[in-house]
Amino acid sequence: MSILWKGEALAVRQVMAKLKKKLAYTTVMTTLDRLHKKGLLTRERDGIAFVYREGLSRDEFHRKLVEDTVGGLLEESASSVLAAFVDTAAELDEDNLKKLEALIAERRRRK
Amino acid sequence: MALGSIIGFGLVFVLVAWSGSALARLAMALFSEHLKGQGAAGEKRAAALALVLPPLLGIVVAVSLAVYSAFPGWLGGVDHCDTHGHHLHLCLVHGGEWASRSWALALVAGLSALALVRSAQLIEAALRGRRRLRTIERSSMRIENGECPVFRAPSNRPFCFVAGIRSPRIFVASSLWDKSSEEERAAMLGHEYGHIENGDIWRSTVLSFFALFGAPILALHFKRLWSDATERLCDRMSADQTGDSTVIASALVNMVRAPRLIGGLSFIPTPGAVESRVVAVLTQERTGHSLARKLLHVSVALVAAVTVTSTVLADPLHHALESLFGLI
Repeated sequence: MSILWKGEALAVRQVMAKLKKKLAYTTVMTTLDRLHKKGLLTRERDGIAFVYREGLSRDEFHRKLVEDTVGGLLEESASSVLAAFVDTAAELDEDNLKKLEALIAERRRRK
Repeated sequence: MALGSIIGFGLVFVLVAWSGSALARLAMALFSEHLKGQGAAGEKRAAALALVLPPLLGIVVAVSLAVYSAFPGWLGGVDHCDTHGHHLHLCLVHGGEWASRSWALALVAGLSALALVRSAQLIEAALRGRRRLRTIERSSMRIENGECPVFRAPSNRPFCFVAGIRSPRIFVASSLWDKSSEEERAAMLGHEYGHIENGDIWRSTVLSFFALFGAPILALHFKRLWSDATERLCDRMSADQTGDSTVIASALVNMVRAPRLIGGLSFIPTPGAVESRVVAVLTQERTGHSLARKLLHVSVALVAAVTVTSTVLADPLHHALESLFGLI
């Protein structure tokens, strides 16, 4: 991902050449294919091969990673490993929210 | 010792623990208004005791009776097992026949297996949670150092939580952090520091474990009550720290609004407790620390009383339970 985040569109062999570690062609090809299927890379045909390009920028990737991970964490461990400031799914209808905001405003005025 | 006899004592544990949970629920329903009026710390302690005491008393009674059955001469009793044969005996030495009662075997073995599976799931969730926290931490920016570092995590979904038992860390979604005022940020962090100060994360873990042994639905109910009271108490601590209860109240309302503004994303099922939290923090409800202390003293006295009673009255108690199980 770091190689492709530099913005170039690269074929499998070009990615291999930029890797610090030597890996087999099929390993790199399979990895790029999987990243493509996960939506992290885009690709287009160039002759008989594919060239790959970033599908998500570095920032978007980290944001998606955090959102997915936090989602799983909160869902699973509403129980024990963390304490959230507020249950983010707490649903209040608009009327109730407005009432609460009016209550807060009234308290502020009274000060 | 007859291995099957453990099933009999398992039934004693289930009977005491589950009826204890039911009694705790009844007591909390009867005194709910009084509890609410006393404040969040009192409610929190009451819910925690409702989770912890029933299994604890179940163990106390089962162990007292097991010890008595093994050494009946201790308290002037006699080994009566050969003298009556109309029902099975709660006896470590002669109670092996419990294994042949399919309902008892199914109940005790089933509940034990369930508790084991749930324990394993809790441990697995905790380990997976640690891995997930590392992932979030790697993608986040540390914005405050100190004993409890604060991380700004890139996310459009609003969240703010503290995690980690040994080294707690606070994670705030970038969208929430960037939109909040300085005062609201301080209020949110004050709330999370409250969780750390109260040891809520390790307490929650311990209570989740005890919840495995209480009456199933009631234990979840008590855990939810504990969580709600915990949040209210931390809101109050945050309001005391910032000196303005309206800031934490407005941060709460903004947080509930945020998912809609950003696209209606939500993570977990709703308890709908935000309204009561806002009202509680604005009305400056009492903290309830004095009730919490009293409840702790009463509970210690209760455990001591049950221990002494079940030891001294082991003879009639174990006959009564044998007769009760004999009716099934």
